Amino acid sequence: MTLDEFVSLSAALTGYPVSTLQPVPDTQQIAATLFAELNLASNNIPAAQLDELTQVWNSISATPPPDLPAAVQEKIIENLAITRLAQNIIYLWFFGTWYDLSKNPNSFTSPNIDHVVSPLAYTNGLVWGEMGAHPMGYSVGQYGYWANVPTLPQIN
Amino acid sequence: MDNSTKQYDVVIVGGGWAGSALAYRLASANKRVLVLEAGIAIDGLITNPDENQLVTGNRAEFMNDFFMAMAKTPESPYVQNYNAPRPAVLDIQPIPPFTQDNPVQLPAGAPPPATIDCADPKASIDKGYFIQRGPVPFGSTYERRGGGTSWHWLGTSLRMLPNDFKLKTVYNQAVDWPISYEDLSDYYDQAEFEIGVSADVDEQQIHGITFSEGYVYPMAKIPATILDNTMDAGLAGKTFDGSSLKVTGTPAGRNGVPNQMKNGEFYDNGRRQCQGNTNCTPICPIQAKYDATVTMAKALMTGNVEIIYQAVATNIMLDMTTMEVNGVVYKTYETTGGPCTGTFTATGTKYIIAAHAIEAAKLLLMSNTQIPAGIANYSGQVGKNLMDHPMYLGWGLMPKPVYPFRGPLSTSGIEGTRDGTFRSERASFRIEIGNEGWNWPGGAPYNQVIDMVSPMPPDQSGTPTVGIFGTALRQSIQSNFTRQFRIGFLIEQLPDADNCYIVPSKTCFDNLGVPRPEIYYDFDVYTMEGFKAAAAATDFIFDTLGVENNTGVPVGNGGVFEYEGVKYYAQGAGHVMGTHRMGFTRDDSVTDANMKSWDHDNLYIVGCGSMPTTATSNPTLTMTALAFKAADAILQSID
Repeated sequence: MTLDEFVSLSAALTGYPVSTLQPVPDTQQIAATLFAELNLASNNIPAAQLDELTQVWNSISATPPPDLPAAVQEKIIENLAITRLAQNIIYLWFFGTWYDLSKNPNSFTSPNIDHVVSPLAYTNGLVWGEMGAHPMGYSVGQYGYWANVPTLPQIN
Repeated sequence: MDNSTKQYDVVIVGGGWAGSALAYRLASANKRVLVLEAGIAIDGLITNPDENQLVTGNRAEFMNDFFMAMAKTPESPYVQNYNAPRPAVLDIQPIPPFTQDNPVQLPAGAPPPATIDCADPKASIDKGYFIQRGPVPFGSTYERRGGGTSWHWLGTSLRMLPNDFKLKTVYNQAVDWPISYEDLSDYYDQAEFEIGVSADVDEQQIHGITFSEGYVYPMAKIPATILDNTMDAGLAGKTFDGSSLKVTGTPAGRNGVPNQMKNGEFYDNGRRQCQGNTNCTPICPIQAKYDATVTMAKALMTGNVEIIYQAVATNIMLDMTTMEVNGVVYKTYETTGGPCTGTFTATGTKYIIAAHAIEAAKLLLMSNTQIPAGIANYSGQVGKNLMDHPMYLGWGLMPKPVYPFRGPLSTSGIEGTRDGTFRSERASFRIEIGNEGWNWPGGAPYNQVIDMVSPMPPDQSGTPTVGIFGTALRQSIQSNFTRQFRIGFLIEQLPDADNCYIVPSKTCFDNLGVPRPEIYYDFDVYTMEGFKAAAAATDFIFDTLGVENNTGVPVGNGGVFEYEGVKYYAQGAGHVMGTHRMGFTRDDSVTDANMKSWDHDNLYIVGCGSMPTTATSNPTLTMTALAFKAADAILQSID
């Protein structure tokens, strides 16, 4: 998988446009940082699984936008051979976290290789902005902002 | 470092909350003060450049560790120190042979459960510093480093109620404090100034709390969140068990908008305003929230204070003729996992034990080379009466968005439930409103997003099944997380010398060879009735507000117990109290009302351990007031 393939696939999985995931200029390099996790040997990603996810994505990535979610649903999400890896890409973007592929991500089974990718990956996690908030421990608000109703990001 | 040759007016054990306040007060009165801190130094708070103290910490490093932690617990920014270890919430588990599904009350006289393998101190401490004997695990934790547990306190700075001081007189429960609200009122003023508390006087005048003429808090009340206002509107005029459910702002040690004080000046402590990082616990990224390093910095600026870090007090020595303390023996180390590098003795005119409630009691009991029962222990009460505000959590989804994960962790609460005639029968509580969604009970946002993306089969076994993604996931996150909220009940606990206590372990030691705390802990009927009432109050409040009630098994479920066939999951509040209580006589308490040992004229023991009952307020503000009271008594006794 290339970085470009990773970003376009990530857009389909997260529901965010490529321009959000990889803005120009890309000062934070979050896409590249997260993409590196797919090539990290210690993450123990079965090569066949990553290859299949890449191939499947390339086979559907040109689908017209209105039909793309259905294609992703059928070819990736419902494909048990690769859905878990696709889920991890969602977690990378929403949390900045990599979950051990060999276990249920909600379990604390130990030892495991769950880890936060980097402080920047954490503070750029999409889940916080999605709910109109900020990463816990990383607010850019002014005193008293919490008394006001936030604007949630538009979902297209 | 060897300070054996120096003589100080006061030697303080502990560079945390009470120790910093005491050091500042005493040094400001030109007393020479030595502070022994067991943990590592904080950058910028060092007086003795010493090649033996290589390890320091600072906020930026702590933030980095917090960001990188998978489980963002109160301990997550702060690495374990095997030479001055501390407990961690992840280690709180049901105590064998009991399990989460099989909580059993330990019968009286039964042998203690399962021995703990602690032959290798580091490996054993990694599984939990406390030797938990139960039957309920003690759920609260603390920090041992410069600044102590103030690094991860919430900031709540409520005063005690007048009736909290006289539980025996008014409700025939436990004991009275040897002081009254009136005795502490001026010290509360001083404590609120030192901490920098933001609150509104009119709103805090409840249950008989009074303020001096013209008093204003240093800063105006912190603005309420959307959740606070939603609950306030929905609960207006409602009562539970005869108590008002009115929502009020919680006094907080966080910087807000300065008030013009009685003396005409605007309050200014030089630190930033709260930015609402929603992270008071485990760490405020910008020090808008007060912590004890603020006061220790001022203490050091007097030039009258020396602080030695990585100095673990191990023995309090007595002059057996006068029965006064004549030295504190301490051990030093170079690194957090390295060996002991020396044993020294600090000497002064007066001595203050201002370690954490559990560590202070441990030190007093460990110091048994001259008196077998330990120091200051004629009453036998040292280490006894261990108490907390065990917490009941209720959580659910509001019918409309309330936008959690914004603002300080908690800005409002319900205080009407803190006092009433029911205290003759059951524990009272205050209700804290949380601004962090289901983060505490439910591991939010992680666990719920995972449930959306990688849902488990209904029986929770096997591998995750097909979840949602893309637009549907985003919609689901917006819908769910903007409506999440939780409330927490801080439940009163009575002193129970027989069932709740800490002793130094005879078999388990830390890396320096210092005994680890062995803890016996349980809830009595009074407190369990408080839990029952808390659950009923949750149902009532949620019904009133139209909340979808999701209260169930919280992620931290080690504090499970069963009462009248119902399981409850107690959480620690971090309010560790009672282990060196003050009182009226030498027979039933460790210190007098000035926190001076009944047994040793030049020894003071100061901290939340001084509190005879838990009261109904988070104890930190009261601890500060008590520290200032003790400082005044010490100064009077020296002059």
